[in-house]
Amino acid sequence: MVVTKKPRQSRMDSLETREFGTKKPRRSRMDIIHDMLAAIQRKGGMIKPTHLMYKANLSHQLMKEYVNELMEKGLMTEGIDDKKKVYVLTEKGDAYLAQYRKMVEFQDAFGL
Amino acid sequence: MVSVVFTPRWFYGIDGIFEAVAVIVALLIAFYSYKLYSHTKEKRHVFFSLSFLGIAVGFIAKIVTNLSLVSSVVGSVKHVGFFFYGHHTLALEHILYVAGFLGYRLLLLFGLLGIYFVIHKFRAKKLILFSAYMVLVLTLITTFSTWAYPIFYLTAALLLLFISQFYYDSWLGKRGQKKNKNAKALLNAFGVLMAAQLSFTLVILNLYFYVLAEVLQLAGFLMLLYVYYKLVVRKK
Repeated sequence: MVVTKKPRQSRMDSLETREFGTKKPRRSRMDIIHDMLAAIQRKGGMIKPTHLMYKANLSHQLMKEYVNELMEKGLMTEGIDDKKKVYVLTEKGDAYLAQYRKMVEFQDAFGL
Repeated sequence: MVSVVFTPRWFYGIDGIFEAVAVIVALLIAFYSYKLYSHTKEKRHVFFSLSFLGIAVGFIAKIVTNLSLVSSVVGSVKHVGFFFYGHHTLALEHILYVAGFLGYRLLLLFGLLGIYFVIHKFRAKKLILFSAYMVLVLTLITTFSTWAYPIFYLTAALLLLFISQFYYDSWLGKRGQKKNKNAKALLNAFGVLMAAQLSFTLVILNLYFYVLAEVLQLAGFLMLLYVYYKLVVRKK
């Protein structure tokens, strides 16, 4: 059997991959929080837990952790709609989203 | 010693007001970058914040130095008959000038170098440390030289040229950079700041270049303030 050895990736290659973004970078905590809140906002201010999980592209476990954190911070609350559990975006969450968008714009403009 | 004041007499103090605007703008950007850091915990945001903080503190050092120099120049004219008193004042003036201008030069160059490294996303720590070391050595060895003034402003202009080039690429979306519509305003701001530094180097030829440089510098910082207002303050 002929085993073809895969060429080893040099340090430079990995640097280039990171620099020029051929590989999608991991989302930061801030990005995940934004994706969750933006998903609720897009759905008119309330969303079902399963929809949130798909829209924010999170595992069930991770979503639970983030939901707890966001509820503690008052960015979203739990509610009932049509006898089903939903997550509701608070005013504070709405303000956070506006702030986040400004931050991203500042970061992009200055090239940070 | 009086020759250390490069300002035309009628411009005494006005430059201080212009530089106070630069301090406010630099502090605003530093605080907002720090706010960004407190959300993201990304090192580049804190380094960007520290760079602008350095520039702000550098300008504060320049304002304090200039104001003290101006008051002692005016004072020395009033007390021209008191030889010992006058001599003492001039010696103090010299120390203040050297310390204040040294602080200003170091902080401004480190600030610009910091901005350059952050926006270009440099990761090579040794190269960054070496560049900082070279700036430190260059600033220190030229402290007592007549070349201190032009060398400093030319170095600042060079760094601003590199920073402007980054925003030029960003504006046009060149060299793998994401196209950004706000980059044009930043290119203008840093370009005008570069022109200001070049005008400072020509002060030796004519004192009015100092006034031109200060006006250009004010315009550059006001352009930065406009970008800050557009991105952070204005409601959409």
